[in-house]
Amino acid sequence: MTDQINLVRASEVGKLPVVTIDGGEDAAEIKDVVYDASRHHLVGFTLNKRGWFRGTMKETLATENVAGIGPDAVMIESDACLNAADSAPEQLDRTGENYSVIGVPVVSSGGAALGTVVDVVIETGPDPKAVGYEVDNDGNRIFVPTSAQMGLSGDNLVVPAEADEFVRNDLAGFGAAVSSFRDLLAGRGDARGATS
Amino acid sequence: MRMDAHTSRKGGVDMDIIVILLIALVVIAVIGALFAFARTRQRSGSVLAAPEARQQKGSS
Repeated sequence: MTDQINLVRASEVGKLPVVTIDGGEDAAEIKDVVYDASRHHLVGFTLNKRGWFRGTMKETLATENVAGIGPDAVMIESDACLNAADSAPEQLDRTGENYSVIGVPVVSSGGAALGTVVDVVIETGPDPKAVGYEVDNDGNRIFVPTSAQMGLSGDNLVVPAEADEFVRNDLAGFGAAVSSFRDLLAGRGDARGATS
Repeated sequence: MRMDAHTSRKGGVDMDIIVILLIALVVIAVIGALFAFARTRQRSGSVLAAPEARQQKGSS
């Protein structure tokens, strides 16, 4: 049940170039990583232009149009995969309403303050999704898995008390913890958002 | 008198060069600051949660 999964920090994806497979060109550069915090799936990316005086592009990149997320680039089939402003997914189009999770305080349902969010861990693959949060706990970085029971707002991130035992101090061990945590939720029939 | 004139002219030329170099340095510094500002702005990406998460706040 503990399948090998590829994990990457969202902040690392945020600096990657977007490369077309058909032409090998740098079409853009990832700016913001947008995800649905209730379902945890990756919605897409906002983009920056390439070049010295580069600004934000009107086009966005939906996750459905991504061919692959690698350690050095985000691959798309062609320039046509970039979404124009009027054809972008609804959640990407409302970037003014989206809010940054970086710096949000993390509290467990047991009432324990776990620190503040410094990054989001993304599982790459055919269905990219957020699988956890990197939390700064008094200088110590820990990784907390997401779950269907979690509440998130711009004010607080609430994780279930059960997640405490799956907290890890390194990203390598966190992959196995995510799988184990999913198994736990599935075993309890409590994986509400996992199947969506 | 000729020495004074020569010195004055030479000093004037030196001042011109210094002023030109200073102006060039200021221009280069301004351009560098603009580039740095542009790069800083461009890399100010973040991780954003979609609005649906806010709507379901407290629903669980």
